[in-house]
Amino acid sequence: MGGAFPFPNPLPFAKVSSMKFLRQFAARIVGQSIRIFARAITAVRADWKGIEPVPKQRVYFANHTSNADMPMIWSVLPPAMRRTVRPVAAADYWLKNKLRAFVGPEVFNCVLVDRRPEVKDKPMDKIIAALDEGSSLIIFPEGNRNMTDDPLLPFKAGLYNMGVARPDVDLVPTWVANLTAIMPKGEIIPLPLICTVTFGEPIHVKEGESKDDFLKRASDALLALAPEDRT
Amino acid sequence: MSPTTEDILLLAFGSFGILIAMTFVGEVLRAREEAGFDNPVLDTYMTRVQSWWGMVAFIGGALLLGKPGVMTLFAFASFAALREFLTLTAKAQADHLSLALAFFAVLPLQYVFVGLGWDGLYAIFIPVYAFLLLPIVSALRGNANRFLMRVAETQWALMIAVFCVSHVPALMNLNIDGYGDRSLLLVAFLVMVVQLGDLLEYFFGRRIGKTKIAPGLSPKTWEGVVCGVISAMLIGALLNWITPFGLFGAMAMAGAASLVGMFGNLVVAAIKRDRGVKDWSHLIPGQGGFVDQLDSVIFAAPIFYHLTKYFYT
Repeated sequence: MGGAFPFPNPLPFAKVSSMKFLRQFAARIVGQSIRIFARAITAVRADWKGIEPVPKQRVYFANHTSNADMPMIWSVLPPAMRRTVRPVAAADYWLKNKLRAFVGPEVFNCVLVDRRPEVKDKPMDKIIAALDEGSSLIIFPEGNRNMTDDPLLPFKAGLYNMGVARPDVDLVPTWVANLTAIMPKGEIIPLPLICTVTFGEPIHVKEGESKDDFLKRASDALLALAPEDRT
Repeated sequence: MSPTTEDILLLAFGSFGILIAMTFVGEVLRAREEAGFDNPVLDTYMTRVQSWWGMVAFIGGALLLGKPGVMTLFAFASFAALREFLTLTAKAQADHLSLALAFFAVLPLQYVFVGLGWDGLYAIFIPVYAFLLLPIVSALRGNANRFLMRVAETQWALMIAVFCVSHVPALMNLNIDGYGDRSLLLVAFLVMVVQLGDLLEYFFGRRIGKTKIAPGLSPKTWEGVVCGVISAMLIGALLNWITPFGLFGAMAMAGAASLVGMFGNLVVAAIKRDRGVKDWSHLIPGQGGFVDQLDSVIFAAPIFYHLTKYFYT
């Protein structure tokens, strides 16, 4: 695990390419279905507050309260941006069974990272490699799903490391609102409330800025996009 | 072709005529503009005209399909409106089941009752049964924090988005002597006088409006509202041939519906201001959400329904 998608391929070449074509076709259909489903149920929409919806290399860093966060962000991106965006996701989650192993790497084109310390393949190397091939990324800097009442957990260092390693890439705070009300933990029926994905102004690591200062600034920038709790 | 269908087609072509004229005026204004110069008012106007094209097409199509078409259209409008409303209301996880019931049980049942024509039941289903039963479902989860606020706001959402909206198709259930299957046309009458009255209220308010009705809430002025209601009455008079009301009856009904609708718009503006949003959602380009577009029709519908029922059946 953690490496390339581990499918041994005993089939002859012609068959392989038609298989590949079929898989790609199926991936596109599944992707469209997920998008249509998200739109029909949650009327998910993008609020482009700080950036324009243009294809530019970016790292979208978002809050993480639900497994539906990533598909929501992915669904609101226009097609040209969706084709070049790769969510960074946990290999242990997306390779758990065959269906996930199809949806994660092939529908969403995830960069799968293995968070176990004993693995040689370092997550940051794969992330930097994905940036160098020109992809945009979706990451969840809290590391885990936020199950607390706090709006955000402390950020992990990954976002800072990306910002230092590739300083030209825009780091875009991305707030996904309402998903906790749509599907709170432990409930079975999702409520069809409106989900909004808000994109803020991009930030960059400043010259000489310390890791903690930057992560604090990134976290504040993300939190500033949250709709104020009026109750 | 039945006379009712002919009348619907006539109304649809009339509306398309008005829209063609409005689109034409907008395009002429746009052509006159210097290149590279932005006119946000004109842009807003043109997006709105485009949305109206869609609305006329949808409502006209639904009317041509008859009762099932109108029922389906307004059931979807209710769903969209309820979704917009409940997105902004106070809620806790303890309300999850009662909110799910609101979406997936109360809303469909209300439309089933309207479809079956059980007027005794659809008039009280939400104000009595949902009102009493949904808070019980919420209370069972044992969270008292902001309880009254949560259940009251949910009830408000259901009243506005489901109860009131469902009274538009409920007009088709009214049995008016000598009017027969033409009660379908009451839907067209209500929507047209209220929406056109709003439009003209906005126009006159911009032109001659001075005295604000509720400063800090809405730019509506007394001058605009008076002109809007008079315009709605004149439109009602022009459309009296599709109603069972007669000339003066049609004017009175149009005036009442339009007046309630305009003040309903004020109530909805207060709710939006309280929640700190400009629009309910972004589903209709240039208009915001369904509630933004339908607020006046939503308020007018139950009153128009009961006035018609009281005076004409």
